[in-house]
Amino acid sequence: MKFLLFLFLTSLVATAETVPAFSRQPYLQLATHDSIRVVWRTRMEIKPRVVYGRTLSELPIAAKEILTRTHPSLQAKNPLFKDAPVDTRQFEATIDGLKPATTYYYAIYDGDTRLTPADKSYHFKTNPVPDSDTPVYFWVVGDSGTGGKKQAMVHDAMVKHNADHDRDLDFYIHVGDMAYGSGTNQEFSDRFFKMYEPTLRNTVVWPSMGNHEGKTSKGDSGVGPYYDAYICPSQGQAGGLPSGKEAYYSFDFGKVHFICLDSHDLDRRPTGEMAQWLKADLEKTKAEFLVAFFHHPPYTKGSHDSDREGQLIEMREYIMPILESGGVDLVFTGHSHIYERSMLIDGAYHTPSIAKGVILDDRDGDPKGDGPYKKSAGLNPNNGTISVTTGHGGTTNRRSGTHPLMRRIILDNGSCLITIKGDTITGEMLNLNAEILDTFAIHKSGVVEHTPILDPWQPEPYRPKKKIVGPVAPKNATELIAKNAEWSYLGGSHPAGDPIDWAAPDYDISQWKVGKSGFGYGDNDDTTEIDMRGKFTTLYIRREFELPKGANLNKLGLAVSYDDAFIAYLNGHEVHRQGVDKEQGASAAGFTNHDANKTFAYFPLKGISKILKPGQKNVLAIEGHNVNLKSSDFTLHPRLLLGK
Amino acid sequence: MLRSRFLVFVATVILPATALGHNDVSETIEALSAQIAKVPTADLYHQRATEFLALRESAHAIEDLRTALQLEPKNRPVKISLIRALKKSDEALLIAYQLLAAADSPPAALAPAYLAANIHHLRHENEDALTLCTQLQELFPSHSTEIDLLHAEILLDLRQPAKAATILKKSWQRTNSIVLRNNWIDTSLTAGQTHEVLPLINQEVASSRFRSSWLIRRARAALIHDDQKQARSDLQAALTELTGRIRPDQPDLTLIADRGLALALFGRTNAARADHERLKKSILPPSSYRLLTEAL
Repeated sequence: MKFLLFLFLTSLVATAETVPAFSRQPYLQLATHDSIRVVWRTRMEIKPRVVYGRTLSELPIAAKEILTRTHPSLQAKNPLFKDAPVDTRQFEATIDGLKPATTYYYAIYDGDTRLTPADKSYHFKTNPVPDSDTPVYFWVVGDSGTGGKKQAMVHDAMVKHNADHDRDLDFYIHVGDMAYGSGTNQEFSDRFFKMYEPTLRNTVVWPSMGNHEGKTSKGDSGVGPYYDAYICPSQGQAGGLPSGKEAYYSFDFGKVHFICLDSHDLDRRPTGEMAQWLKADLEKTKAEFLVAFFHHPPYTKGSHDSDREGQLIEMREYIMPILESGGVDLVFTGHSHIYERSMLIDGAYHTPSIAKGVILDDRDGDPKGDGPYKKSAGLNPNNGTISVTTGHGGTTNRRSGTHPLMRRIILDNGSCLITIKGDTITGEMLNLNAEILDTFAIHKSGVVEHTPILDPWQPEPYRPKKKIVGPVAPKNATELIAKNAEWSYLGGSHPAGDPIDWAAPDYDISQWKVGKSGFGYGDNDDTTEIDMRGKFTTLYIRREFELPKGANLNKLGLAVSYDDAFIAYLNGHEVHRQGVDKEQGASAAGFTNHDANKTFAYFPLKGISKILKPGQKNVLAIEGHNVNLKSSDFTLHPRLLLGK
Repeated sequence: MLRSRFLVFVATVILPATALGHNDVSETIEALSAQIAKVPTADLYHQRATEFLALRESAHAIEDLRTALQLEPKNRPVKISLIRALKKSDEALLIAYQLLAAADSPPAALAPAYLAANIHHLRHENEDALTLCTQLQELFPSHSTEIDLLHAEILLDLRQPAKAATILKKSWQRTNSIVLRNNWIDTSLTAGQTHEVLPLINQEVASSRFRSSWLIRRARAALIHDDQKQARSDLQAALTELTGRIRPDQPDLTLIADRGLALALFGRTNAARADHERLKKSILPPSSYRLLTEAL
């Protein structure tokens, strides 16, 4: 309940602070210890101005340089990709001359008109001085770009976790597939920037391109909506060596070196430019920790199989040896919709993957369990890597098998929170209910030599669960209430009276609206659109129906397309509840997520013979519940069926 | 009519964006196959070919791409995918030139011209490859670094390292890419030129965490000046570092290439040959260890 209340509150904050002038709300890019970029979009001409300062009340300094990018049809010097609306303007303000590790507040203006509210959430913090001992705390997400409920919950869980623990992110890494299905400009706006807006206004995101973004953006040319959205350090501006391409780059934060690769559409061979750059970059860095991220996982048996697919095999066979001989500590990937976290491994380049001789430490790495993994201080070749597939950021998870290198395999949506402090890396997997389901740590100190384990611990083999098939609607049933039937409905307030008075046959519904089922929003599966997102979560509907004399009441059932939960009443008596744990109406609680998926689930109705009146008018009333205000969709579409 | 338009819409717009969006490759192929059975389109065949390529099933991919072209003979993305799938065959070259001839603007000529140059290079038709590279560089002043790297490689095949070095240096100065700079340094050394690159090499030896590749470069420069002592000292230091970095059973093969080169320059030919043989049997393309091959 506390979590739901939190979701409700954060939803209100996000809704209240949306500024209509922006077609893409402000977000941060390319942070260094003395500079940052603030980026935003409008669909109208403005006189852009960004001011900033050390206190919220005083923003005395103006950004000197603001680049404006427009549609290519306007012959712009810095054109956006052609799929952006013609009137789009993207503004990129460069703010430099800043103090390291310092918080600044900022505001965006159109001439003298302030566009961003005077809200402390519009701030940024510069990176610490390179090589300093400052701890780093970052969020890693993958394969989230559905714009849907799970993505929102994963984000909300991170926000809640940080609020509960009084922590602030230093930055955010996305390992690709952030804008399904093709990474268009519109999909980026709707499924990435809108979704993460409250975080992006004060937290830099460092991206790597997924295959879905790769449908419209090309790594070699650096052209497409992905490259419109992001400003990546191709010139080594944030530490590391210049790659000359935004598709792959590196940056430093304190004593940590981060490397982003493009596993999707560039040459992955050791002769390719990317691998040559990687090798050179690794030779040069003197960081003490090394984190790499890219989209295609070298090790997975989730919705993808790293033993079968070319890009995944090549990242394992070509790229992993270079990373490990360079001393990499952590590798984050996505693509496969699952959470898989490896043991401490090295030299696992075989196809198919094997465990023998490539696992250096087969314990769980949990500080409260078997204890953290141990590595030598600094970056040392082949001293052990943890590989994390974190493609569970917002879409449906899948598992196809058991990868022999994995210590934890979890089929739950979520994300990773990583802390590097002192000599220890700590990683946590946070699910969409803000629960930590995996913790691991790497302690780097002194000199640690590993001998590969010949007979390592192995995860349980995967045994797919048998699909549970629910009751099936009777064939040739009579529809007492048909698909798309007309119903009376009430939203935005609760019915007067006691909680279930409204379901009784004689209840006054003269003020209720009338519309055709299904009711809801999102997913393009509703006949009567209900404007409830961010406003309310419960919808009440009722309709009379005639029950034929002599009807076989044992054959009566409800077929409902629903998202997320509902309680059904016949003539004022509850006859079925689905996904609601307790209470009803305004007090209903304990909701379970459910996607309608444009299908009708069938629920036989039992024990109703004394409730119904054959040959007369009866009333079916249903209260539909959405799991939270921010949910991307809601559906309630019932049919009442009488079998023969 | 309306129904068939709807099916085309479902097949080409809705399914690729939703149902096919997040699946395992094999399931995606199954779903595409089902759609193709209902309403075959060039785009669906192209999508299925892409999935086959992900599974490294080139023959199936090529078959689908050819079918797609039968449905839409002028489909440019399909032709480009087919050229890539056909690698260095006559057919690949023919399609590349067809696309080049049909290009109605310079940007439309870019991809087919680069692909044609690459095919010529793979077929050791370096003069033709060179002509195309030169034209591309002139036509597109801000061209991709890939074109410069290909151009340089062709010139190295033609034993013109000084020209290759000039191209690489220009490209480095244009893009600031460290890969272009390092290739320029390597190629300059192949051309026997040390004046400009030696200060950079010394800087890198002094400032890098792993120094072996820079020590080998400095040894190459020393050998050009017949400074055997410096060369041996650098090569010894490089070999020591490489020994600590090379995992015996599953090594980073790029380091084996470095070690082989260091051994060859050191005069330890048998050990260098052993590394060379190992590389020849490995997944690495021969251009990854060109310097070692030349040193032997």
